[in-house]
Amino acid sequence: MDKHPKHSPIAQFLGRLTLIALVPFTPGSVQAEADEAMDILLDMTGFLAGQPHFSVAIQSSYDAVQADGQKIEFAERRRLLLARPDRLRVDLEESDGLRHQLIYNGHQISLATPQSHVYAQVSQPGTVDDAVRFFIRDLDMRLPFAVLLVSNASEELQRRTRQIDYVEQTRLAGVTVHHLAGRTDSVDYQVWVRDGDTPLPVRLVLTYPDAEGQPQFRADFRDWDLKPALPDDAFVFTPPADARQIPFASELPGSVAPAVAPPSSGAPAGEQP
Amino acid sequence: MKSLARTSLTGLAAALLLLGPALQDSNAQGRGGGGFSRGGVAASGAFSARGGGMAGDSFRASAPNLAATRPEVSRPAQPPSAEQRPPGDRSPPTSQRLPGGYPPPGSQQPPQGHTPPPPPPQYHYHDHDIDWDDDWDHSDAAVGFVVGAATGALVNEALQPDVVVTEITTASAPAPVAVTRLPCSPASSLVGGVTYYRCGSTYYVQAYTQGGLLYVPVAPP
Repeated sequence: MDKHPKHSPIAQFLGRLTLIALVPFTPGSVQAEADEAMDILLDMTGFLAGQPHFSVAIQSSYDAVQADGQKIEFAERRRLLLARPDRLRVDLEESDGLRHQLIYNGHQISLATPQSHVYAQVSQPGTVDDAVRFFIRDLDMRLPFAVLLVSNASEELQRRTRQIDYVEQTRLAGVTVHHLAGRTDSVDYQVWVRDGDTPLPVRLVLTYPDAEGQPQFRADFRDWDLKPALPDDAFVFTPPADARQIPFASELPGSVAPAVAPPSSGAPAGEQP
Repeated sequence: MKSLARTSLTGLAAALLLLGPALQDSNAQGRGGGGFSRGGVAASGAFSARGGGMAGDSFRASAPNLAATRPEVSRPAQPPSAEQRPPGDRSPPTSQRLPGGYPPPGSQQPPQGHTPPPPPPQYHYHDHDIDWDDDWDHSDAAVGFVVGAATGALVNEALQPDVVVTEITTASAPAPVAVTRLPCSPASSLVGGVTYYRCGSTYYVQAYTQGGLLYVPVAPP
């Protein structure tokens, strides 16, 4: 909700004329705008970090640049349920229908893929912050926009950001939002932050300018719920029926398999276990 | 005219011969039948990245250091915290409401953005006083489908803990790499609680990776 007083169209027009005249000659205004953009960004991250629990649905897509340069877009849907300090659940469905379930209960990280009848589980006592970092850094897994999930998201983003600008105020998904554009050392990001008392992210676009094809990751955040239902079994992992436990690749020993003749390129995929 | 038609047919036949194995290969390897890799740096959705970013690129490729190429705009003071702003005051900067307030794509204007203050001491890069990786959320590189064979050197990379899938560069020195589907009807064995799948003399273990579920070649159990 825009809490700012509405001015008449004439006043707005005159105000804009004044600003148009002043901006090019007011170097400080550029810095002020950057500061304002950073403030909005930190409002968002601080607000998120201050929520004891929330749930949100995320529709995302990303570019997968193929070896020949062709860019293919894949989509994913996530339902994220977070209860600080030590519980997290992510239900993910890839665009090909494959579903995964990630549950952290303060003691263990469990990842399951029921359709493939497999799951993995590791011990990680601690908080959601610890688990998220461990999942990405040590298990070498991916968890998009993970920075937004940790309790020191403001520090994380502020430290990474080398430049940030305010693009415009606009409307997205039926709400007024602030469109910000920032740059880290390796990622250009755009984030649309809801205006008003609940500065939640509405959309996020990440561009990797140094990567071949400059691929993007895009996410739309919908159905924010800051008082979600937290059923007892939401963070209880039960291995799917007839599922077997497999490791994370990072847990595998680094031994080298012997070089053998390549699989026949035209061979059938073979029976899947 | 006949000569032209003959030439065209010959070319078409040659193209089909060339494309045939590739199409067959793709169909055999790719989830969904397309043979397209789902990986890549963008799949990470991370706010920092390392690596070339192609779906299937080696993890070892390092990105240019943008810090050296992007001039920084110094900012003397710590930005005001959210608490310093009036409650509910999240209005945009008035000047940014102007049309064209943001440089258009391709603009050669120098960076005019906010540069944050130096990180607090406890977050200095490579600070060994704390167990912390500043870019812990980085995408190291791409993970994707393998639609062919890799060189032996790349296989070595593929078996490092943080490297799962590598790019196919040549079939001259083929060796196994992580795949989404096993290249055979495997013989499986359970050793130490881990299921190994053997195709020829190569053993695979199914594992979770950045690119999802893959069969990773491992040493014999």
